[in-house]
Order: sequence, then structure tokens, then C-alpha cells
Amino acid sequence: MTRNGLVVFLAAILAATGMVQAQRNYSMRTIGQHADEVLGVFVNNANTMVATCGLDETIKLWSLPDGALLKTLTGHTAQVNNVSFSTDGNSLVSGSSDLTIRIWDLPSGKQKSVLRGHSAEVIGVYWDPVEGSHLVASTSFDKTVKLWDADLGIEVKTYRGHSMQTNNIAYSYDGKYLASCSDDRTIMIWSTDIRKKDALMVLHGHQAPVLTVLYSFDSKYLASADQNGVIKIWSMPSGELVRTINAHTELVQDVSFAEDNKTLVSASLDKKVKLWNIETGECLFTQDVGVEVWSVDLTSNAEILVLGCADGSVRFLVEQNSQTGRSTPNSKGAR
Amino acid sequence: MKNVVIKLIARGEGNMMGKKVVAAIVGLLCSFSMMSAQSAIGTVVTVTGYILNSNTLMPVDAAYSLYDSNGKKVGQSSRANVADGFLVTGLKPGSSYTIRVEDPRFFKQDYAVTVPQTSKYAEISKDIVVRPLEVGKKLSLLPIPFDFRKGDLKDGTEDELETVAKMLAMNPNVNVEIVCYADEEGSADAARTMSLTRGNTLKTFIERAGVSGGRVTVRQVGTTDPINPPPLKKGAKGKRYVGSVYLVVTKV
Repeated sequence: MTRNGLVVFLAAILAATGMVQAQRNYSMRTIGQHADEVLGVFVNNANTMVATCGLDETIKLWSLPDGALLKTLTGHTAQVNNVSFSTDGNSLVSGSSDLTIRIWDLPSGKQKSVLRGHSAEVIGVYWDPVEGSHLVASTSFDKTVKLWDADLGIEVKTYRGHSMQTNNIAYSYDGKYLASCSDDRTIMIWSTDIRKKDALMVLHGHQAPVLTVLYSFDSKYLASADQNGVIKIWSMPSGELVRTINAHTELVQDVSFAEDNKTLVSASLDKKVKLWNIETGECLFTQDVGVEVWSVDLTSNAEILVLGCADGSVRFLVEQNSQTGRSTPNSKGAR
Repeated sequence: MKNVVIKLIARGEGNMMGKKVVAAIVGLLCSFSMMSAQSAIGTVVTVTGYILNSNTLMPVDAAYSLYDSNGKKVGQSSRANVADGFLVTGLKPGSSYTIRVEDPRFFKQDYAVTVPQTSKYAEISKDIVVRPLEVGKKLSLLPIPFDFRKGDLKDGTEDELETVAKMLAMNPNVNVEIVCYADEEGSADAARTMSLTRGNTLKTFIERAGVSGGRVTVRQVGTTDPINPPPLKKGAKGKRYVGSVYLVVTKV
């Protein structure tokens, strides 16, 4: 066996045993356009639809995998900072600088309710991933985290503890915890038991405002990203820091997990989108998008990455040599 | 037996933590009191929150009263906790109430609270933002009811403006001045023209909502907002800046 043959042979064995994750390759295409910067991207559980939102005060719904524009939702009176689908995909929540949270009926696209209660811009929103839940969590420049019942249209609870604006929010997929991040450089973990008010845990370690957090689908990891482009991986629920990745040279506003719970995608204002193996810290793929990228999400198997860009474009990165583009076999994540 | 139990938590002096402990105990007692009342009135939902100053978002100990959907005052007037602006009150599910801030330091204003008919929640949350009533105070109008470089009202902002007009109507002795700053650096003449256009648009809206035009003046400004200026190029990313709009109290 030649030297090259030996290398290929060993790599094949390592890949087969799962010790090395294969590098991935994607091709990029622009599927549509907002009138201004795209700030939020969210793929539904069934991998059939993606919602985007941005400075143009609209929310757009696009089909997956085709990327056809399905609907444009209007009603917010300031930029829309984030969106999140309900588990069944029949509702969407949005958070805006107009200080409101809005609940939308899908696929009709009608606004179901306007939730008022934050005293400053609403930045993050996240729909409780537990099947059938009507609870929605939000963050705001008013430093609080609020929990809402989207069905009853009421503010259920306010979590207080951050000393500066709260930037983003994520539920654990087992529904037990909420993670919030803040300009105060911390991440706070809260119980979703509405009788408990104080943070269960405060995670320190970031050296800059923490812009986003997200649980893996098995709820065993929490990924966080900050204004310096650093990503941290935390073991949950212990809160132990597993890994620090100096991922980007500019702020990272958004990260997202694939259903394997170890592949993470990050998007940055350094114009790069990167895929990571969080178990090894290895970068699996880098795409120079050529424009700042605010937001990213992916289909369950990471065959399509959806990018929200500062030039208003919504772009797909489609994995090459896969069946993608046509198939959306599994629900998003294994719960 | 009143059909609503109102208890306001502890006041007094001492450190914040001590007050929170006292507040928790009184809150607990309040809950027990509510429980004893439940046999007569059914389930009571506890409403908790803070009264916050709109300019600082810091808690304040503002005085307030509670009214039912018929406009009947419920219980005694109360005051948010001196230490941290915390308020707690018990309300009947399936009912709507109005919390009216009645404190000479702040604009008198109504805040609606609807308690849904459900046994799902023993407690719900409600923060109240009050505007300070002091000559010279600048009160931000948020969200800003104009689009970039536009002088007419943005669709969908009417609800918020009606709330402002209603607040002015509830404070008939208060006069205000509308100040609208430019969206971007440029000629002072252009800035003044836009400032006047927007100011007059707002004044017209407020007058149509029933507030005497004599109480509302428009101040023309030819600059961007010195307190909240347009962001520099890097800071502008991810934000859509529109010039600030203020109500300035000119007479109390």
C-alpha cells in the first residue's frame, strides 16, 4: 500500500468509527431579498419552511428546500429582531424594536395577538419547544426575560437578574430550562417552573457582551457566542465550560445546532459562515459569503444552511453530493 | 367580603435584601389571605411587577389605585414598595381592571390588566412604566411614529399615540412641547423643515384625540438629537435610526 493509500485507508476507518467528522462542502445561492438587513432566520421543525425578519419591519416565509417566497407578514412598526416557530409550525412569534411581541397564525399569515409589556426594544424570542406548549420567552433592552402565554395573550412571568440588556433567549429542548445572555457578559439559566424566580446558575467566561445562546437538541450542550467572535460550549445542566472556540474575527450574532447535537453553524459580521464539530473544536467548513451575516439556521441534517445577510439577501448554502435540495426527511432534531 | 383582595407588600427602611425578605413574607401572608378569600370569591391570581420611571427604567414608589371594569375603585389606594417599586395585588380571574397611577410626581395614567379565566396561573406579571411630571423633563416617544425621512405618521403607530393623547387628556393642567430631531446630519434648514412637519403631524393627531391645541406647542430644531445622535457607520449596522421624538413638559 502506498503512503497516500494508507492515509486514505486510515481516514476511512476513523470516519467510519466516528472519530473524525468528514469535511463538508456547500454551494451558495440567493433565494430572495428583504428591503434592508436581515436580522433573524428560523427553520421550522418539519424542515419545510424558513422565516426571516429584519430592518424592513417585515417577516418573510420561504419554502424549503425550494426557497420560494410564500408570504410577507407586516404589522410591526419598527425593525423585527427575531422570530421563532411553534413546535407544530402553525404559529410564529416575532420580537421587535417597536417594544412588542406578535403572534402570527400560519399559514394564513394573520396577526393573532400583540403582546405588550417590555419597556424597551424586544430582541430575542423563542417558542417553548415542548409539544403543544403556548409559552413564549423574550428578551429586551429593558434587562428582563419575560415569559408569555401566546394563547391567552398574557405575561406569565418576568425573570430579573441581568444587569444590562438581555440579547437572546433559548429553551432547552426538554423544556426544563431557559438560557438568556446579556451585554453584562453572562449567561443565566432559569427554571421554566414558573414558581421559581431566581436564576439557577450564572455562567461566566465571556470577555464581551454575549449575543446569543442555544441548546443542543438533546439539551446536553449550550452554545454561546459573543461580540468578539468567540463561541463557548457548555455542558448542561452542570454549566461546566467544555470548549472555547475563537471562531470569528467579528461579532457572532447567531449559531445553530444540527440534529446530531455536535455540528454547530455560526454566522458573523466577518462575512464568514462556519460549521464546527463541538466535540473536537474542528472547523468542518468555511464559507466566505462576501457580506456580513447576521443570522443562520439549518435543516436537521445540516444539508441546507439558511443565511440572513446585511445586504438584505436570504441565501441558501446547499450541501453538494447530497440528496438535498429535494428531501426533508426528518423533523428538526431528535427530542 | 370584597371580591378582590389587595395587599401591598412591605414598606420601610433597611437594606434591599431585608426588604425583599419582608416583602416575601408579606406576600406569603397575602397569599394566605387570598386563599381564605377564595372560598368566597373563587381563585385569585396574584399580579406582580414593578413601577418603573420611563426615563431611567428604575423602579419608583409611585402611588396607584385599582378600578374594576365598571370604573369602581377597588380597595384602598396603594403605593409600590419604597425600596424597589415592587407591587403585588390579587385579582379575580376572568376580569379586567385598570391600575391608575395617581402620584403628583408622575403623569396620571391608566394601565389595563386583564386576568384570563383560567386556573393555569396562580401568578401573572405586569410592569408599569410611568412618566415623570416635572417642567423641563424630556419624555421619549417610543416607538418613534415616523419612517426615515418621512413626515407623516407610520401605519400602525396610532395605538401608541392614542395612549399618549389619553394620558395628556387625563392631565388637563399639563402643557407639553413636541420636539422632533432630524434623522441624519445635513443642512439645518432641511432639519428644521422636517422637525416642524413632524411636530405639526403629532400636534394634529393629539388635538383630534381631544386634547386642546393650546396645551401643545411645537419646537423646531435644526440638528440631530445630541442625546441620542445617529450612530456612526459601524454602530449603524443592524439598526434603523430615525430621529428622536420627545414631549417636553412646559407646565405642570
